[in-house]
Amino acid sequence: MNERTEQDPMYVGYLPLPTRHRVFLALLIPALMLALIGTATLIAAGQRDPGPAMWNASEERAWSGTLITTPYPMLIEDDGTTHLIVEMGKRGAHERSTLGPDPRAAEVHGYELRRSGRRIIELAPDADAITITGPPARAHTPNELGPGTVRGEIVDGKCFLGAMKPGDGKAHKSCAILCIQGGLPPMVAVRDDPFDPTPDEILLLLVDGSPTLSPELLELVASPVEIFGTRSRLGTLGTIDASPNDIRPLP
Amino acid sequence: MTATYKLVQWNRHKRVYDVALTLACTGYLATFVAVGLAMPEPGRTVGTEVLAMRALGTLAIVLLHLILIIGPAARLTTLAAPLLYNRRHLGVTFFLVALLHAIIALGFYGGFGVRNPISSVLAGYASYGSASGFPFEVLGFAALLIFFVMAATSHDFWLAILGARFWKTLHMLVYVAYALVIAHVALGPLQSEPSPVHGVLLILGVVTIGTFHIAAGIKELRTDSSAIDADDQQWIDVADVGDLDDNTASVVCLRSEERIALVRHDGSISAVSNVCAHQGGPLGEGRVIDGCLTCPWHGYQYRPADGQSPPPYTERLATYAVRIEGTRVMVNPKPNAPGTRVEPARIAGSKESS
Amino acid sequence: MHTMETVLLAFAVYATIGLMFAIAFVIRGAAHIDAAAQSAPLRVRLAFAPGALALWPVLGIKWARAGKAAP
Repeated sequence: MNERTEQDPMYVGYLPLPTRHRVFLALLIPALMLALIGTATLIAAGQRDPGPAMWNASEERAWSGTLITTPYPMLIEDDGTTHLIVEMGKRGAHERSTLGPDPRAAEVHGYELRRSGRRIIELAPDADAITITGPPARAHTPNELGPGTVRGEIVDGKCFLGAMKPGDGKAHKSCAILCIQGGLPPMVAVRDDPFDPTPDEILLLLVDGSPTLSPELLELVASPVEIFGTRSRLGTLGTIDASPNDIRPLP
Repeated sequence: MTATYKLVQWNRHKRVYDVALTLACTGYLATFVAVGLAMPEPGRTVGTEVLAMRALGTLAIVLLHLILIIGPAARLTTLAAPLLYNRRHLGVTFFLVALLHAIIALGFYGGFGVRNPISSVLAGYASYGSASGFPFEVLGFAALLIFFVMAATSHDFWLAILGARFWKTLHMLVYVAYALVIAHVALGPLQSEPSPVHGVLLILGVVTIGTFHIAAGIKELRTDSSAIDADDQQWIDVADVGDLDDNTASVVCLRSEERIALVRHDGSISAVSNVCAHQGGPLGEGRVIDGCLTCPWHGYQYRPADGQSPPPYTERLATYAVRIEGTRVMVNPKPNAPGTRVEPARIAGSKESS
Repeated sequence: MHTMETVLLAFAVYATIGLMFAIAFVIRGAAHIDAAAQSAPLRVRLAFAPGALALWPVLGIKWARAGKAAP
């Protein structure tokens, strides 16, 4: 024989609340509310700094310069400022009919994404977002800087430069893969500390000269990697060109 | 089985419960977004869609912890009974919050691209062997499926047609889903958060849930350890009449793991199964209200003499034969078919109320 | 990747069958299995649809048995 129940009134949902339950709840509910608000504050305030990324999606702008398509569609202004060019959504601009094989002078309309000196233009949705204005004002050849090794994370340029904040890290991995599959530029956020919001550099990643990644390499997106390749500079854009075997996961 | 089904059997308590729950959820989300839009500095904050996803995801985890604590808390103290009474609404709210989190994640991470959003989020990568490559989204999806089945079958209709045993087993999957959620966080967002706050809170949550369950388990073990051996006895001595208070029930544990609820009411003693036909609540911890033994969990009622719910309700309990020898209460441990009427054992010298 | 795609396809098939079953269950099945559901209004029986979608194999068996038991 055990479990004697006290003679205080029992709680039954459809009957009035007994006094001792009333007192208990009067203390518990405010305490729980405070705990919830405290937890929300702690978690929200503890979030990682997404970095100084900027996406000006509300203001359409125009840029002019030299339009080139290899290794990736980009516009190089006369002062050398280089903008990668992408479409709206998670798509690259390769399919734009106005993109010809040769460098030409062009005017580009769209929205700016920017982070740590790296720039992307998201083309306006209209068909004439790129207008060819004539032959190239100036030829641009990549300036090869020689071989080098970098450590960091492979990101998709558009999200990392401001389309998604944060546009890196594990939670964003599936998005980054989808973006790169859609033709957005794979880039390397060069940093030793994987949480550093201001990477040393943000380089365009090329694999044997091309900005497309094999399924095996896509698995390494958003994870720490070490890349050995040839570094170059095109306008203000830094690139690294590696063979697939020289892109290795870090533990 | 109940007379008929309603969407919700509303009463004042449930309304107050739901208002408090709505306030709590709104307060949490508003605080999270307000703090998120101010940190680390205005203009350099987490994007609104990511903020919404995180606010909902973390709220879901907080609610899940609350849900899992209520069960053992109610076993430890009857004070927690009001939290248990409407836990179902807490569960469905939790599911909706988690679902919204998943929809936003699917929309923003999986949408706007060249692949089907579901396939790109759940099958975009698959390095199951490494922590940084493990597709944590799959874990969240699996947990959400379990929560969906639980939320979808939370109505009493399901309890009736699936049977209490199947239903209970189905809802025990919450512990599997909880483990999946913890892994979803540990192999997902936690991998790219340098602050120790999130990891520490998660560990604290797991430890709290563990502590409550262990404490409740110890209490149950103590109850079982005082069990009475009834293997080859026809009548077993279970209590002294003087130990039983009027209009109150007591639990008797038999070694066969069977539990009997002894009810003293109206100058007599009756014995019925301790397990409520609704959700298995401990009837022996209940009271007699309006002449019926009332379950402390959801207030289901049974007549002590025949174990039947008063009309129009149709729930029935197994009954046991009882007799009084001197001041000792004797029970025959062989259960009668549910709803069988057994003459209550009259306590000498007591008067029947009119 | 391939395995997960197959699993997702299986889920889609299961849910599609479940959806069709759920409609039938709300209209007829619920009342057939549980007499108390007969007098439940449509909006209550609609609330049973998600559960029917999820558990259609179990309910299908119960419905078939209830059909045999009925005269």
